[in-house]
Amino acid sequence: MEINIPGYWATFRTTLKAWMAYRVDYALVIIFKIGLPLIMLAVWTAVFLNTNVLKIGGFTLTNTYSYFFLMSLLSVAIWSNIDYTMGTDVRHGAIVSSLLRPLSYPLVVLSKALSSWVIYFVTVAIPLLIIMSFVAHLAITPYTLYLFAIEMVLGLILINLLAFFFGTFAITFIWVDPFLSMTWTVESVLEGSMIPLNFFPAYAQHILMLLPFPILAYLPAVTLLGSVSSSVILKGIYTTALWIVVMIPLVYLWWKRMYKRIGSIGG
Amino acid sequence: MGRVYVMDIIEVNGVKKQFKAYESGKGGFFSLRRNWYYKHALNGVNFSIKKGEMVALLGKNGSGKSTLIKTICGILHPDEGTINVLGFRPWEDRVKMVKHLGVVLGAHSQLIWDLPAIDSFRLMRHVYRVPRSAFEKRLKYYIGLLELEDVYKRQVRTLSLGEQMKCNFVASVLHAPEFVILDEPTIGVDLPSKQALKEAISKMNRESGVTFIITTHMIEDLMMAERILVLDKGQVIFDGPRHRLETFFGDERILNIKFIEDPDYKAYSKYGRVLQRGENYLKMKVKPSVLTDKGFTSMLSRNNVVDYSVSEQELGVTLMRLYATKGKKTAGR
Repeated sequence: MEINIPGYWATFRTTLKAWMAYRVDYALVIIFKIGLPLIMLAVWTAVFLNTNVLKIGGFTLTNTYSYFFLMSLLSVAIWSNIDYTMGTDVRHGAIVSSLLRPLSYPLVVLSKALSSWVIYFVTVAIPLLIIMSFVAHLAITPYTLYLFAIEMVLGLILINLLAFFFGTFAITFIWVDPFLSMTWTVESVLEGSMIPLNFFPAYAQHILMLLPFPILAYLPAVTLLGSVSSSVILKGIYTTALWIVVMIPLVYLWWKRMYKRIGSIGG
Repeated sequence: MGRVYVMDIIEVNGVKKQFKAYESGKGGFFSLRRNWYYKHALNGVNFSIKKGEMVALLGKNGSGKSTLIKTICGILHPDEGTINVLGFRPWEDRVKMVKHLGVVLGAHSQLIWDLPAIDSFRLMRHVYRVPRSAFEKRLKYYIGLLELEDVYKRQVRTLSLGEQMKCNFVASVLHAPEFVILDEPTIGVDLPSKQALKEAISKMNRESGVTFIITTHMIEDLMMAERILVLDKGQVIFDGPRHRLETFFGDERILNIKFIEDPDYKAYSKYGRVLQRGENYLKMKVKPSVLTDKGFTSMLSRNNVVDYSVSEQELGVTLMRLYATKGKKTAGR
């Protein structure tokens, strides 16, 4: 199948431009994104002070600070709004306008999601990474940066696959915001952005590392922190790659099935 | 699979589509209960359209027009039946097929709400891979034609409904489609632009052989189309030339007569059906042959008659009667 690159590229650029139409709102979102980890820091400071321990799950309080700042960075480095876009498209009938264009709908929402991703990556993730490289204790070497880059690419592919899968539920249930909030919460636990995975018991860690989620937060964080061995990181990368290979055809077939169920919304 | 079509660019055979919907239960707490049922949006639709035809698709609200259009465009899958559009099966070859289509759906804008209309036009240029020179030429033509000079660089959300409709039309035809579907194209559009829009449509049809399906509730818009297709409850209840619809319930004329003083109304009623009788006034429906009947024309030429006028049966009235009979009769092809 021929891919209409100019069409998707134009969709990407136009979405970028549309994001910039509301600059004040956008600035507020950036401030919120940077301010959010401060809340997590306050919570974990209270936990350390009240339990009188020096380490939890092998993390000192300083490690924990670094971890949650990294989580803030990763929340804009590995994320996707495809699910939200699809929910809105279906509820407001905009999916009809998209399907009237000679473009594949999954690639259209991917172009839009990447557009949003670029904005946050450039304006939030990169500045945060630069700041953190000075103030946090990161193990930044060419090799860790190389591993981090691979994790980010795999993470992006995976999060977009997952978000697209969850987004298709809008075709059946129309209003899926509560459902999406639930998936985000579950994801944040399983990927380790709410609680570092090494805080869990060993058997739970073992199970969690076999799931596709650690690549979305835990693995890239511990890669930059240098707190786990390369073999654990490489195992996580291979596991994720396997999940992606399995998920791509499954999500594609799922979409073909859901596409047939698109109903008549809004005349 | 390659495209296979000779003359009929659309063939719709036995298409059925149903949706699951619900009605609220009785009031109070029980209004939370839902009574689910299947709504038969399309109930065995058959028709074909030849290249270069201009067809008006009519029907009451909820008659299945939008569902039919979405099915033709490959957005919805029919439960039964087959559709062939420009040699493609719409829901299987949607991406290839819609390259040749231009669609304006009233409820689904092609414009990007937060950006000026020109950004949507440019997006369309890339999506349909229109060469820059052709794009600039067509854009200039439509902007001039529809008086959009002061509009197309403004944010879409600041535009009036009519301005948005005009911009939507431009966005849908910039790639010079072979086949255009317009859903209520003149809604909210001012009179000069409405006229210009209709002229543009007629010109595209006449000079470039573009095929059109136009859905509308406005009788004046119907006059663009030579062929009328009427849907009711998901079925085609009329398919034929416009003049056949005009005379579907008999070829009759409306006669308005003003008198100096009340005439012998009984004498007039022998010639047709009296629709309205007022002080020195009579409105009646007669067959065309009556207008050449010697007895009748002599009555009209008497001194008692001040003035009279003859008009054709209004298409809107015919449509109302057609809807009322709900497909008990079908006509046309």
